[in-house]
Formats: sequence, C-alpha cells, structure tokens
Amino acid sequence: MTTTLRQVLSAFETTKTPRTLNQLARDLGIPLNMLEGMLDYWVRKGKLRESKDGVACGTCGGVQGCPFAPKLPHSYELVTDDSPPEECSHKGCGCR
Amino acid sequence: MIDTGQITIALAGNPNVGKSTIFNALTGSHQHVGNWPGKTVERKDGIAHIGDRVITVVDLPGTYSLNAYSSEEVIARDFIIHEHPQLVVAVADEANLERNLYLAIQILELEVPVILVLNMADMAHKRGVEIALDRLAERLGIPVIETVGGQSTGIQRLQETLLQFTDHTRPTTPVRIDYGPDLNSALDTLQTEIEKHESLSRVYPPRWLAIKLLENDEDLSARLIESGHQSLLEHARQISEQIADQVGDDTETLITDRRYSFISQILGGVLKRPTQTLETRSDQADRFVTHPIWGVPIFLVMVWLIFQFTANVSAPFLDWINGVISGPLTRWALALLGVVGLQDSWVEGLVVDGVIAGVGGVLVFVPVLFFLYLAVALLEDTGYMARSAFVMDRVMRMIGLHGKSFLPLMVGFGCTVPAIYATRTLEDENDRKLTAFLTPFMSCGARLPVYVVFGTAFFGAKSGNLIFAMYLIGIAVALLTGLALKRTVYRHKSPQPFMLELPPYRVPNMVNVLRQVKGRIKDFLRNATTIILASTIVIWFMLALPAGKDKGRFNEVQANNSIFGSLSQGIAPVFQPAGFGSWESAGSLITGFVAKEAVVGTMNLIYVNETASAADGESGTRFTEDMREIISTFGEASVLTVQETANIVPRTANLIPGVHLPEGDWLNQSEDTVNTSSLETALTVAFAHTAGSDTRGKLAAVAFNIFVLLYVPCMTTVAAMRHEFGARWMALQIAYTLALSWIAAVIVYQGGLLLGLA
Repeated sequence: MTTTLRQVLSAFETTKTPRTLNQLARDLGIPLNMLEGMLDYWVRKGKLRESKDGVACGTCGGVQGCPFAPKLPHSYELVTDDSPPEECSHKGCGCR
Repeated sequence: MIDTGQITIALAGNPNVGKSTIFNALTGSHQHVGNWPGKTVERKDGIAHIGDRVITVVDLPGTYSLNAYSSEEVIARDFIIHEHPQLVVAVADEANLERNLYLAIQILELEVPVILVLNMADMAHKRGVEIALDRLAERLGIPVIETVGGQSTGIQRLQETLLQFTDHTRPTTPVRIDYGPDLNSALDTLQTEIEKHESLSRVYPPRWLAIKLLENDEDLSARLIESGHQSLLEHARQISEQIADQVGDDTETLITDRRYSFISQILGGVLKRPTQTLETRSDQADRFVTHPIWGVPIFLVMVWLIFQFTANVSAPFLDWINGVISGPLTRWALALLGVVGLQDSWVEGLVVDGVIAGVGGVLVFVPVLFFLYLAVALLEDTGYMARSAFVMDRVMRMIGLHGKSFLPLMVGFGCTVPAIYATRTLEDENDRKLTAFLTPFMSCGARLPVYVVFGTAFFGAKSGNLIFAMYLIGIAVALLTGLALKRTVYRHKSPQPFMLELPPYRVPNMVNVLRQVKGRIKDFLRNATTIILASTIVIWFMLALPAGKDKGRFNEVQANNSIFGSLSQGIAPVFQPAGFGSWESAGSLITGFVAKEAVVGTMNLIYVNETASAADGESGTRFTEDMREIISTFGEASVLTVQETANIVPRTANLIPGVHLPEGDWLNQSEDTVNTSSLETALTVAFAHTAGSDTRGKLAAVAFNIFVLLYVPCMTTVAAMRHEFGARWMALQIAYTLALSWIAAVIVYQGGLLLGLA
C-alpha cells in the first residue's frame, strides 16, 4: 500500500506542470499544514529542496539589508544530481 | 538557571505558536534568559507561583519534532529524557493542529505527563476552525485547554490543571499509537530486548527507544555505539530491512506516515474547518489570474499599468524637480559661489555644469523610480508577483526553463545584480546559468531614465508607449536568447516542475510597501551621490581638459576637442550604421558601463549648458520669488499627478480598436505644450542633426534606446556574473550583449529606413 508520504513525493515525480501546495493538499485529501509537515520530512531526507525567503546579492549585508532582495515565494522541487551549492562562497555575505 | 528545588515543568511546541506568551502569562516577570549548555540556543526559565506551589517553568526551543535533526530538537528531547520534568505542556497553534499534533504525540511517546494547550484560539475561531475539546481530550487521554496567551485567556484553567497534575490528583491514560501489525510486532521485539539492558531502560522509555531505532535516529545510534550496544543496533537494522522488504518502504517513512494517519484518525469528527477553506477566494481568483491562456494577457496588462504609472503619472513631479534643480537650485549655487569669490572660476563650472547638471540630471528621475518601485512593491505585497512564476511557466518551458526562473527575471526589473544572485534558488546548475545570462535583458530601473528622457523628447505624451515597448522587447530578447541557447549550448533535460505556496491575495500593507520603496530609492540616491557623482566629476574634468595643446585651454575648450570628446569620437563611427554616430552619444554609452544612470548624467554634461540658463536670473536677489515658484509648481505637479492617474483609464481603454475616450486636461495643457527639459530639446536637435532629419533622428533615438536596453550591463552586474559563474561566462556575456545590442540597433535603424518610416 502506498503511504500518503510516498504519494506526496510521487506527486513531484509525476507532475508535468507547476502546482500550488493548496492544489496538492486538495488532491491528496490532507490539510495544508499537514502537507507542509510531510514536505519538511522529505526535505530533511534530501529528496526535496525548499526555497523560501529572499536571496541577497554578494555586495550587501544579507537578505534584510538589500532593498532589491526578492521576496520569493515558498516553493519545493525534487532534488536532482546537479544541485547548486547551498552555501555562498562569498566571504562576509549574509546570503544563503 | 533558576533552581528552586521544587516542581519543574517544560513548555514545548512548534516555532511561532505563541509559546512565549504562555510562558510569560505563567511566570510574569520572574524570568531568566541564558543559553543551553554548550549551545547558542536561547534557554528561558521562569518561576510560576500557582496557589501555594512554586513551579519552575522551562521554555524549550521551538521544534517541529523530536527527531534530532537539529540542535533544538536534541535539546528539547534531552531535557525531557534526562531532566525528568514532572509535566510537559505541549503548546499548539489551534489553527494548524494537524501539523502541531505531530510533536505532541512524539512527546506522549516519551511517556511523560502532557497537557495539550491549543493556543491562538481567537485566530483559529476567526478562521472558522472549531474543535471539540472534550472529545479530543478523551481520544488523546490527556487534558486539552484552549488559550489565547497574549490575552491570558484560558491561563487560569491551565494553572488549575497544572496544580491537579502536580498534586497527582489527575490520572491520565495517554493514547498509544497503533503503528500497524508489522511495525507493532517489531517494536514489541525490540522493546523486550531493550528492557533486558538495564542501563538503557533506566534512561530511555523502552518503547520510545525501539521506535527511534526503527527510525534510524543518528543521534541515539551514536550514543548506543558509545555505550557498547552495537548488537542492539544491528538487530534493529535487520528488523528494519525485513519490514522494508515486506512493505516496500523504509521504516522511518512508515513510522512518520502512520503518525500522520493517527493524527487524521484522532481529529476525525473533532476538528471542523469551514468548507470554503478547501478552496479559498484566492484559489477561485487564481483560476482566472493564473489561467494557462488568460494569465499571460493579464500579466501584460499589469506590466502596461506599471509603465503608465512610471511614465505618465510620474512626469509632473519629474518636471517639477527638473525645474527646481535647473532653476532655483542652480541660481542659489551660483550666488553662493559668488559670495565665496569663485564666480566665473573653473570651480563654478565643476559645481554647476558638472555636479548639478550631472547628478541633478539623474536625481530628477526619483519620481519615476518611486512609481516603478511602488508598482513592483504593490505587486509583491498583493501576492501577484508569485503568480507570475505560474503564468510564465508555459512560456519559460519553451526555452527549457521553468516558471520559477521567471522570478529572478522579474527581480531584474528592479536591479540586475540581486536578480543574478536570485538564480541561486534554482535547483539545476544549467537553469541557473541560463537564467542569469538572460537577466540583463530585463530592463533595470537604472535604464528607465534614458527611456523617459528619449520618450518625452521624441514621443511627448506618448512616451509611455516607448517605455512599455522597451520592457517588452527586453522580455522578448531574453526569450529568444534562451530559445537559441536551448537549441545549441543547453540541450539539457526539461526542468522539474515545482510546487509553490501561493500567498493569498491581500490588500497591500502600505507601511510595508512604502518601507520597501524607501529602501530602493535610498539605494538609487546612494548611487547618485557616490558612483554617479564620481563619474560626473571625472567626465567633467575630461570634458574640461583639451585633447592637445592646440585644442584650447582648461575649462575653455570646446567639448569635441576635449579628452572625452576625442575618445568618444574614436568609437562614434561604430554607431553610424545605427543612426547615432555622434561622439556625444558614444561618450554617454561609455559611461553607461559604470552605471546606466550615468548615460543621462553624461548627456546633461555634454548637451546642456546649465550655467547659461540659470545665470540669466538675477542670482541672490530672488530667493523669495524662487520659493514661491517652487511651491506653486509643486501644487501644479500634484494636480497633474492626480490627473495622469485618472487618465490611465481612458489611455488603457483607447488601446481597444474603435474606443476613443477623452483624456483629462485639467490645467489646459494640451499635448503640444508638454514640458520638455533643455536636455530633451537638445537631444531632438542633436539626433536630427546626426541622422539627417527629424524623422531619422526619431528612428535613431529608438535605435539608441534599443542599444541601451541590450548592451553590456553595468560593472557591478558584470562583477556579480564573474563571482557566480566565473570569468569565461562573464566574458561571454559581455561579448554577446555588445554584439547583440549593436546588431539590434542597426536593424531597427536601417530596417526603419527600408520600411520608409523615415
């Protein structure tokens, strides 16, 4: 039997178009806040990647310091082999 | 840490559930804040006086689980296991109970007495969440109390229940999760084995430890290895593998999934949410706004409205600031220089023709940028910006990117540098490189002054059309470049679809919006008073210094005989095929590499002799008159701003063929009397002269704007590109943008001539 957790991951593997978390929660028949917990599980397991908050440029003190730092929406996607580096190599940069 | 030697209780809960408000309500001002030993995680202890009891309350770090994925989780569970609090108060956000209960049932598994507090009940009720507290308490086998920590609602009930627990007058029979036959049997086996190890069963609840072993808890595994329990670990691993083979999933995932199933089961018939939360109003709006077909036209209308605001609504204040800088401010500077004896000196030329003309010429665009940043901030705050990723997904997929790549591109409308860094949110390295390569084509705010000057000079009241066209051309070039790269260099797999949390649509918070606008304008002003000021001074000196002894004297040389003029003349012929082969245009483009705002600043230095116009006034004798003029023109600009805002409606409606709604003209300023600054007047003359006629000049002006849109971005962007992707990628970007911008400008000009447009 496929678990709901597996169905969450499988939704990422099979979908062809972007979807909202609300849509996914509705399709799986679970509350949004429970879905977020399940997504966090897969993020911790390294199967999904989560993007949230902004990304600051290397010339300022960080997300809060840069007036142009984008307020990017909270999103998840499958982790593939060629993930970008998690840490910024720029010394003194407050970005992710 | 406060140690009373009395009863100790712990507060546990997810982050942001209002745990601190409960802590404060229980302990008042009797608090101590420090760090957990050896950690940088804050520890808060307090003393609660309840009845005749003195209770130490420990606020545990906010965590989503007790799985030891983070130091906060290790601290929280170690405290419960090793410090043996008499009771744990599990604080949950009532509106998000499904997720919050995950932690609460993990605490229950530690076999410690628990009270469940459903906090922020007021917010939950507002959202229509209803919970049958008695049934929930009955199912969980523990007391459940509703609170609003900030208002101390429910705190008395909590205190009474705490007393019952500390007096041992409240027996509880906590529920035990049924993990299903396969896992239950494995847990029983492991539990029996753990109970045989007294050193373990004395410290850890055996069933809890069995669960953790099947969850492959790394922290506990390390501790068991350290204490010589490898065989137990090995046995747990074998059992896990057997179950995984039988069920087809790893035991950690199975356990997690069954906890969620258990939560759903517990809350069935206990928690009621209003049916509309299944599909909110935002969801309904999104069916239209993010529709695969309608979404793109709606997006284009949004962009059109932004540039109507940017070009037309800002124009009256642009004219006002321009009038103040080139009139009263210049006159006052001249008067001041006269007072200190510098009248007619080269310093006067530097200050008035250099600094005021160059920096002032850029500062006049503050209203334009204010409206651009205001519009972008409004889109962000209303929640529309996030939707653009959805809307543009189909378009972006054509070039092998997904809609998420469009977000860094949108950021590029403000500034290209953070847009390049924003590509870090993209998973695939090739996606990142390609998206970053395209970001400079999204017209940044610094290029806007160029479009505004040329738009007003050559298209008058229809300048918004030129600006709108520039932004659309930028997007189109980005897409075409992406398509070309996808078919040649980047033949990589299609990007993975993503799942996005779309924020609900909301009325923008104007305080947030204006704070954001203020930050961005401040950045522009900082640029104007540093980079632009420095480049203006350098260019002024290069314009004041003759290119040779026979060319004239310092500050008296003709601009075309200056060092700057000579350098610019060297590259001007390159632009001849594009119709703007004058040294003035070439020189402005060179300085644009430092910062795009410098293009207009340089043009002000070259084309406009501010001294002449300002000196016409009787400096120093008309201060009162100047102030009166500033105030009266400000009032006029305010009225015109309102008028132009109202005119957006007819102007937009007039895009529909056959519709001709009249535009307001409240101060009787017809299109013929549109204000043009001395720079704009000079530009129309100069471009017409270079190209050969007025209409050719207009075509050359469009070609010039195309070049500004597409040519090599500013040096900060180039540095960002090098930092993120290396020198080769940066060099490729410079070469490509230079070649593309030149070809595009030539095509526009020569194509226009061939089509008989001039």
